[in-house]
Amino acid sequence: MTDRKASESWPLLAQRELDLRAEKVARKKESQPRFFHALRLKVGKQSVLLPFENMLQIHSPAPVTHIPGRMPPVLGLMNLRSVTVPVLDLAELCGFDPVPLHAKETKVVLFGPREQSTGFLVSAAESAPKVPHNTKEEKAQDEWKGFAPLLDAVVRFEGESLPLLNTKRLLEKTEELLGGKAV
Amino acid sequence: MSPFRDDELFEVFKMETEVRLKNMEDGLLRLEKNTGDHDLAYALFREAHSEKGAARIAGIKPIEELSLAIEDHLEAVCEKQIELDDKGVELLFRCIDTIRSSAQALFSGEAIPEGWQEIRDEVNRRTPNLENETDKKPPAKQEKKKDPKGKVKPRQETPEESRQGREESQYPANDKVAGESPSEEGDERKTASTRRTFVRVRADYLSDLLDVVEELSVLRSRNRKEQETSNRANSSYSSLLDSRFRVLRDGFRALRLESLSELFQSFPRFVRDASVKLGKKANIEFSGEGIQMEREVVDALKDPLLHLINNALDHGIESPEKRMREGKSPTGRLWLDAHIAGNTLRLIFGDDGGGIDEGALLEKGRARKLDFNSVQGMSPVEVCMFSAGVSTAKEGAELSGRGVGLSAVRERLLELGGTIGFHSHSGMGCEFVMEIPYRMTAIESVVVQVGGVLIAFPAENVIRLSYVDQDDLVEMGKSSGVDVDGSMLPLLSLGDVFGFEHEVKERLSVVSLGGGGTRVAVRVDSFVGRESLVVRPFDARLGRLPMLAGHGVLDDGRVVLMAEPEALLAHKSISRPLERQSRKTLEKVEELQATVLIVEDSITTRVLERNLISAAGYKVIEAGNGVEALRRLGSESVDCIVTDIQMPRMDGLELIQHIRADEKFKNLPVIVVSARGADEERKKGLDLGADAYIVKTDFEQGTLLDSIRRLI
Repeated sequence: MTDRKASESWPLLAQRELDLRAEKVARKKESQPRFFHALRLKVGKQSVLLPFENMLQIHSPAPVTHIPGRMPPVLGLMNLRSVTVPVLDLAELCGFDPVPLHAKETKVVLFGPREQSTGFLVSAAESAPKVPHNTKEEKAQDEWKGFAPLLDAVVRFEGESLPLLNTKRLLEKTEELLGGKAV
Repeated sequence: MSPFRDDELFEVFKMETEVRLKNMEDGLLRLEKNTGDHDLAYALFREAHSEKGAARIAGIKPIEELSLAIEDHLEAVCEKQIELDDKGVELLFRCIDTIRSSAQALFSGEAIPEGWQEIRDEVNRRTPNLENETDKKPPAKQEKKKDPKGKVKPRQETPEESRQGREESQYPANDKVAGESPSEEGDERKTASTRRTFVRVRADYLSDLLDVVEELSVLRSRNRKEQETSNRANSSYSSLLDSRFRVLRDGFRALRLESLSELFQSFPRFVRDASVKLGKKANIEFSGEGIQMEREVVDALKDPLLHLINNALDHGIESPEKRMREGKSPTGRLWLDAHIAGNTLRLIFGDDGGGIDEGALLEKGRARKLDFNSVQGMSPVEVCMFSAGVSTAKEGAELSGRGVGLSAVRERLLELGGTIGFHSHSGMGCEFVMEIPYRMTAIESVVVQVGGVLIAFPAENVIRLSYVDQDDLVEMGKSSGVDVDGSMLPLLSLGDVFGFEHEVKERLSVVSLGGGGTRVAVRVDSFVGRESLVVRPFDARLGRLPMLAGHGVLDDGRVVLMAEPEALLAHKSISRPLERQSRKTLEKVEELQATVLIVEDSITTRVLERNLISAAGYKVIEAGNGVEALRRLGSESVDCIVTDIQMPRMDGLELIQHIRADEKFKNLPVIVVSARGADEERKKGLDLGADAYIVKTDFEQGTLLDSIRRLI
């Protein structure tokens, strides 16, 4: 008798277990942010998104001092609020024409770990949007080939397709360039 | 029980005593080298006199009486009743030490140690008219008392009255110990406003605050520029703001950074005492002492350096007799050179002793079964040298030799993230090279511009800034040469070195750099100015940037690259050997065949002499003191020396001694040009081996040139 009852209840228990698991997954999904913060920057004529992680400050450019043996996109050293950092031209890094240093909208985005930060010269800092996660598209489109080494994804956002830069790869490339290795 | 009735008196006395003891000690070190210098003896007498007065007011009898003993002894020296001999110097040092230990006991709330009376009595026994004075009542003296400068007192006093009644008003109020001691007035200002108490502050807080001050400095500069362009500047307000801001910035820097001179200042006395103890003679010389480093780094270097000095004196420097037999000066030389190299402070400590017996050291290492490959980058000799328990010192070495010191030195440097290595030359001496990473340092710098980039040189390496016409350049092998003050220097183009494009100019801006006995002229585009720069290492991702030590920031926010003069002086593009020079150069060199080395600390006198001698067709090279002169002698061909007597670091008399003791230079003509015209000074100079003695007060151009012509 007991055995029969047990065999009858087994599918029910299994179903209950499955339901609980599904509920747990759903709760977990709900707790994850549906957005990520990014900085929308202009490099040349192209707008790009840079995730907020590792973003420190945005400055107007200060005078730049060239570093012997380093070529563009490494611009040189800049003193930004008492911290001297190496600065790279993000437009050149992404394959565009250099950013004019003294243009009105030109900014330096200070990026990276505080003790070893890097400045990226950009044509403008446009906005700091919250970008929905589900807007990431396939990145292997021809028009983003120039960004390929630094591209994380292409994001369809506010009616536009924007390249989202991969911060890890950006910092790796920066280290390579600062060390005097060829572009 | 403390004799101080209030805290303020305690603080004032403490501060004054520390300053005076330091002045007395420094002064006595100098007096020991030139015991006939009565001005110096008088300045010391004044310090002792002031200390005695302060101790009397504070009611500290031991310090009062010890100071009085020093004062009396120096008075007799000034009045030429006695000569200050080695024993006298030793006793005065002991007296100063006893005052210091008494003061320290007092400041710590402890009883003053017994035994001070013996020192006092011993000094008094060597002082005329005080020979019989003891702790009991001093006997009355009958002679007329005058101050050591010769001013007779208006009425005759008993000696006791005289000794107790020397009032400040008898002596000029602005007298100083060789220009180092603050005036009485200055002391009063200081003491009235300063209460010396100490607080412990986290170093990173100070660093952050310093960053904020540096940032404010940049903002202030930009604001000033904006005001200037909008013509709204209130100049008096701006300049006041500027000056107060600089005080604030320098104050913060001083909180965080400490000058190496603070570290080095105790070493001359240490060397002196240790040498005396060992029956040897030695001096220590410094360069780069103006570099400022983080306080904790400076503090941490003291013990390792003292270890090295001890070792050098104990095992390296030979006895005066042995040195004489080996053709060396009887006085051994120790040196401590500091400079910034890349992201490290490089300290070189050396001695000109017998060097290290590397064979014996390796033998000891083998006996102890050391693994010579245990430390990467270290030679087997270095492994032995820096391993605990390995020493070639004979039993019973006075100060060191237990084989512990150098391993402890290395460990201390490793703790600082640094390294240590050494090289030794048998019979010539030994050098230890230490490299310690730094996070920030302050360097007095000369800033120039090349291809739009700002570059700085440490001011102590900059000899001269000058303009040179392109037509005056001379071929020197692969590179060009330029005549700077009568010396032909190889010209290095800074633009070529760093890959920057020079501005096209008819007249070149040239910085003459010197260091380690060599000089080079460096072409730049323009001179910017002199700045005290806080220099930081480059971002590690940039790797080692050749010829550059780090970066600083000007007040206007522009980043400056700090050059490494040592690397520039050794740059591969510089052609030095004469045989590789072109005919044009050789002709030029022949024209300037006879070289005169001017050794003079006064820039005015040096310029006067240089103009006079070079106008007469001689090649002129210069040195600011005896130490620099010896370095130049070691690297350049000199036909005659014109030297002053009174100079810092090494005076003219000591220089002559060194020259005459050196086989290579013993016949080199030396002309003394000194302000000191006393017969005994003249005799002393000539006795030591000077070929001519000219007194500055009756200095005539013809006399000097005649002497040079006669002697070369």
